[in-house]
Amino acid sequence: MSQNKILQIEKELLDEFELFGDDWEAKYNYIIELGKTLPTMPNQYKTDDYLIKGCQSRVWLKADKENNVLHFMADSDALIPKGIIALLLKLVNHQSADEILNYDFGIINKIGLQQHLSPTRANGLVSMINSIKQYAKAK
Amino acid sequence: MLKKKYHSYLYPLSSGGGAIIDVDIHKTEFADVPLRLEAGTPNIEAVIGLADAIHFINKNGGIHQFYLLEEHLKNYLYQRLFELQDQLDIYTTLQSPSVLVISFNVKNQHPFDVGTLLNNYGIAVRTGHHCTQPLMKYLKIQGTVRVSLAAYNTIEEIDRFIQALHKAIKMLL
Repeated sequence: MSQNKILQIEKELLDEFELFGDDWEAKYNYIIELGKTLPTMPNQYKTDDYLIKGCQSRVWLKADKENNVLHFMADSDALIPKGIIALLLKLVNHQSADEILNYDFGIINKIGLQQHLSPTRANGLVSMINSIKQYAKAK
Repeated sequence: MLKKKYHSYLYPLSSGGGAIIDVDIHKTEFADVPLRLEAGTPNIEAVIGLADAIHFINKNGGIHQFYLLEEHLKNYLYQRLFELQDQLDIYTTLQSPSVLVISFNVKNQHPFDVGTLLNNYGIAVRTGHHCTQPLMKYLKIQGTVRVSLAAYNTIEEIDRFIQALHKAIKMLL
């Protein structure tokens, strides 16, 4: 089953988030800290070419495809978006394009993140997911 | 006021119900001004809303009372924000004549992060460039957090906002 790897990581993340219960501050602290673990993206890639449209803050995402496996790097000038993209990359980084395209990104609803974002802010989240999918679809 | 003799030269930008007398394949005969310019259902709720807003202001002491109340709230909000001035960049000054809108940033923090956290504490603020991108570029910032109050806000709500701002700053540092 090709889907297992991402779902396995999702399950591990959900287990961690379950510990926080309804404590949104704890969830956000976790996400902010996760962002800080993101490997540095070289400044040369922080250009409009890699900028995700639709985010209020600037979020850059770059991917290299090697043997149908995607290797991502990302950064943001704001802490929460950086944490969110780090969370998404935990799931999809170094996975095959097919696995990524088969994944529904259900984790966002399962950890209740979207309900803590206002609609315009949640748009950025959708843009991040779309951008990851576009990289997976690209030749 | 446009002279009556010129009324027949005015044609509607958008046509619709109530604005015509007769429509033919080759010719449309519009109703007289003002009906020809008021196609469709008039903005009834806005008219009623405006009347109600005027009534609300008059019932609560008149427009000058509202001005004094908002000045009171503005002074208090500034006072509370200035207590945090080491951690904030405040872009509006108390001296500048303005409505009750204050733009600020938490030093070295993105307005998006501050706004998102305040939102979760139940404080609604606007974040972003507020349609003034040239100004943001001049200030070399990505945007600001903008807190705005109106006469129906209270001193207690300002205290809650400051308390939430304290917590948000702590989370981001």
